[in-house]
Amino acid sequence: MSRELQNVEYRHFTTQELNRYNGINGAPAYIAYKESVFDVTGSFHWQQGTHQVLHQAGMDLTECMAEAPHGEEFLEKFPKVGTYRKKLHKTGVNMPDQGSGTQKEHSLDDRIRGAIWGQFVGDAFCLGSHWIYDLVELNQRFPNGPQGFETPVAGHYHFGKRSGDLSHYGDGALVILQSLAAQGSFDTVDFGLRFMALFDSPGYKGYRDHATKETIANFHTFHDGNPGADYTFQDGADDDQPATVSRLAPLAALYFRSENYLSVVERATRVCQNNQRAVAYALAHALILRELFSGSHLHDAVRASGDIMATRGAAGSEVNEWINAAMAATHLDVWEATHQFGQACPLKASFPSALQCALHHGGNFVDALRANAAAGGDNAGRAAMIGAWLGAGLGVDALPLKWRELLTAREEISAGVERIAAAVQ
Amino acid sequence: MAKVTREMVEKTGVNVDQLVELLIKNAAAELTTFYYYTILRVNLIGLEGEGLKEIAETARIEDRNHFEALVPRIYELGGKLPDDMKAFHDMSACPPARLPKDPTDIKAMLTVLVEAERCAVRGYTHICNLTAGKDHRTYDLSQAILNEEIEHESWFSEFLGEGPSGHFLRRGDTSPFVSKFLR
Ligand SMILES: [Fe+2]
Ligand SMILES: [Fe+2]
Repeated sequence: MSRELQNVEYRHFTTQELNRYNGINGAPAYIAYKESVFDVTGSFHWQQGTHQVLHQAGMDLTECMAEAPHGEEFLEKFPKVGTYRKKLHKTGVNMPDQGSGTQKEHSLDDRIRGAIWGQFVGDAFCLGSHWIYDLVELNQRFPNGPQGFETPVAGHYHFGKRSGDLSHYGDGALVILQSLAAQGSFDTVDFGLRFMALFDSPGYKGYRDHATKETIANFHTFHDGNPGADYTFQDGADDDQPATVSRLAPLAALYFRSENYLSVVERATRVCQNNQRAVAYALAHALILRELFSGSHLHDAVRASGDIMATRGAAGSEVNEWINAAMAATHLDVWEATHQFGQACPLKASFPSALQCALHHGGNFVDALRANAAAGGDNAGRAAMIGAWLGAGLGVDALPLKWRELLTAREEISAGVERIAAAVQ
Repeated sequence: MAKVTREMVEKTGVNVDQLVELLIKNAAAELTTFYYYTILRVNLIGLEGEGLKEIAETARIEDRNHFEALVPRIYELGGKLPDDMKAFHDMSACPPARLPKDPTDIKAMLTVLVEAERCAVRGYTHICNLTAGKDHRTYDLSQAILNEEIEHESWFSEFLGEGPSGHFLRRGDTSPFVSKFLR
């Protein structure tokens, strides 16, 4: 028990999680006080997780302080390892938080930063464990599960990249973030040209997936046939995998209150994915983000997205069906659900897999990314979505600061996030 | 065990098992402090140290008295001291009052002493709070000990420059509050 509980990042704790840090049998001893979680493991006064006979670690002790012969200054010397919030039931009775996370209290700014950073952190987390489908092999390479930000080994799709680098999904995400930040709005041609400049350059050493290669090919085909003509960048690849959904968070932040939100999302999708199914999943993703930015609970946001998708033709109905399936599977372990929906890239597998993970670990960004990475396959594509959703739902502070700082492109991302955040206010 | 004694306390809603465990932990703190204070006192030498030696000694003897006074109450309530003294040491309610690395650092010595006393003040305040109006004998005992712990704290804190506390060092007699439990 104790081993899996070690090395915890600063994060939000659910009641269930907090309870596990009870100091018993070598487990660390954490206590919650006024929404902060403190690590009292090393304290003489908390041996075996018990304090002065009466108090047990792994609990919220806020109410005990009033009767303690000391004040809260005693907690200051202990490391703060996270946040905790009891759910206040309507009757006024404190109910344990079941991992849903309460969302209303986060400001829009907080949620936007969370969504964008979450999307990038999610992608980079899976760099070294990406596209390993065999869980036995994954387990051999990462005996305790991927811990995130591993450097890809020789023979890996992303070999040559280093810990903290983005996958090709993240590289594309940075392109659209920078385009949005520079233009202040979504400009199809600006994004398209920036996309070509990066991925069509011989200097680009990352992986070019199907969507990328076909998008580049279509661009050249047009120019070869229509020399000098303007290209609208609406003829991307016939591809239904996670290209657009892995980069949509900043665009969603800029446009979620706009009447044209869905048509902008569709245009953004067709730059690299001129495919009806890709458009439908991108819309569903964007609708979830819209609800989250508006303060909805993740569960409600997903339901609302599904309800709207159900009215949008055959492709929309398919998305709604997979949303329903994911919502019905939240009791499953993430690897199990991912196995059922599919570990592979196509959105009809990766989208419900990502949703199930986000719903299953709705209150905890770190647990969600770990569980998703350990489920193998296209974990990076899923993680970009999961990171965006949980970042939007839980706010940027739910992401370990250390993980943001680990990103090689942190300064570029940060500059983009600041521009987007300022534009939304 | 004094059967009715325990019953009377139980009837007031006090969790007697928890209370007994607290008393044992505080008894452990007293005896271990007696031991560690022995080493501190031995090292309180020189121009500065000598001035502290006498109050350290009084505090040391009184802590031993506190241990002695607590033991009967533990057994009356159905508890017992652990068979293993190492276990007893390790379950102390307060951390060991270890000799500082540099025993000539008088401020470090005083800090160890005052922290030990403050831990004791907190501990007995806690037991008083738990037993007030319920377990009269444990309250009386812990309140007597608390009186002496408060004086210990004030002696040392005065030397640390935290201002006057109005106490005189006791001359000759020790444990003016707890002595009635020692007869
Ligand atoms: Fe004492
Ligand atoms: Fe004392």
